[in-house]
Amino acid sequence: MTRERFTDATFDQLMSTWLDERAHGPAADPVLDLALSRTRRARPLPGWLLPERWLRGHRVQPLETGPRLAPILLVLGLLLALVVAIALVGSQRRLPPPFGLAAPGVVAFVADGDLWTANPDGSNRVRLTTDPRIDGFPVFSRDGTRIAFKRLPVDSSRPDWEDWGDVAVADADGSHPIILDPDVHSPSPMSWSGDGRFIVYSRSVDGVDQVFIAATDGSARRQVTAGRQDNWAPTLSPEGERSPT
Amino acid sequence: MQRDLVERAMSGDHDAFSELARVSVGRLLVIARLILHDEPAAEDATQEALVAAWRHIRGLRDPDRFEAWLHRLLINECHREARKIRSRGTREVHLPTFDAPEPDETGRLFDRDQLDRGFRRLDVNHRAVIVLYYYAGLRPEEAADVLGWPAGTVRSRLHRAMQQMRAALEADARTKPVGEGRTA
Repeated sequence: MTRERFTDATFDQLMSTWLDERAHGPAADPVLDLALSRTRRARPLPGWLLPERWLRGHRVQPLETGPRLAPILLVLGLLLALVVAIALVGSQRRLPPPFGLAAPGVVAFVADGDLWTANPDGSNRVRLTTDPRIDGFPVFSRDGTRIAFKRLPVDSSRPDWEDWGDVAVADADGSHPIILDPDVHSPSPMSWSGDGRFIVYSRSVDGVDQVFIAATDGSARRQVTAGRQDNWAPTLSPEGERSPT
Repeated sequence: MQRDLVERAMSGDHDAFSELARVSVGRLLVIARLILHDEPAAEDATQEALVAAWRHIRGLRDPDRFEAWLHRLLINECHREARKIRSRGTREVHLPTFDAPEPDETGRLFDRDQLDRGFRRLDVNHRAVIVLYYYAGLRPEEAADVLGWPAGTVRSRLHRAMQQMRAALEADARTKPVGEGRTA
């Protein structure tokens, strides 16, 4: 059998006949009744809501002319969202580990005028400091690598001497102590910034508590609040930039 | 007359729309039936096209183009129904019953069967262009208006669709036993 089996005319005739034969089927009345029962309960949408009213050539629903567009757009959208998410996460300052989901570590406490640590079950007691002066108020940095504390003065003959002391930090094992603010009156416990670069605390200035921030490498210190009102018990927000009092 | 009905329907006159729908529904159902090869799906497509026409009739810019616009809605619904059919996978098909053919009818029945097979292999776009051209009798420019394609696209798709139909017919004819052939 060859291509000459059908001429264009006979093929066209065959197609028309075939379609005419296949066109027969159940009557359209039930379809019309169902459609009208639905349209009777609804109202036409306002013209201004319909994009085909304003956009020339707009179709109520795009014809399918190739690969379906929706899945492709969905994948592209997800990829774009992933890129944006990565960019956003990447631009955030990373908090030092194990900030976040960290297991409980050791407990720091004061005993015999020195700083100690122990496991939460009380085992493995370790003395961190051995200085003859009295150490207190231990607070770990958020990554657990350093510890801030108050070190009382040597001269215990001074009136209310226990209210005085140095604001200090050391490594987590007590080594390399640095005095950040020496011989201050009524220092509060310290609060660490997320990145461990700063601590905030309050201390008395001319009889009024004021908030201070200090670089933990000992390089700088700044008074944050002023005035005749007490400002005390500061803490640093997770961003490490605000210090509510 | 029809323009008046369309304008009344656009202003919210449901009776006018009912008259338009009554005039068109038979033709719409046949076109959907030919495109989809599935009676329930064709009825759904027709019904949805009429409902969409009522809901969107105020988006029609030119009342004189109501019929082409309605056919376009129907083709869109045929696409939707075709996707549903594909997602359902196989479905039960009720085959038409035939009386025993006369000997000289055998070739024609064979051709119809091959046309059926070839047509089912086409996608909805190619089926639509065949139906609008051969059954509805639209010229390519008119079919282009319905389908929203350039007239050149209609011609090329019609040509490609008919090539596929003829190829199906010719290829299947080669497998037909000797003696059952049909001369043009």
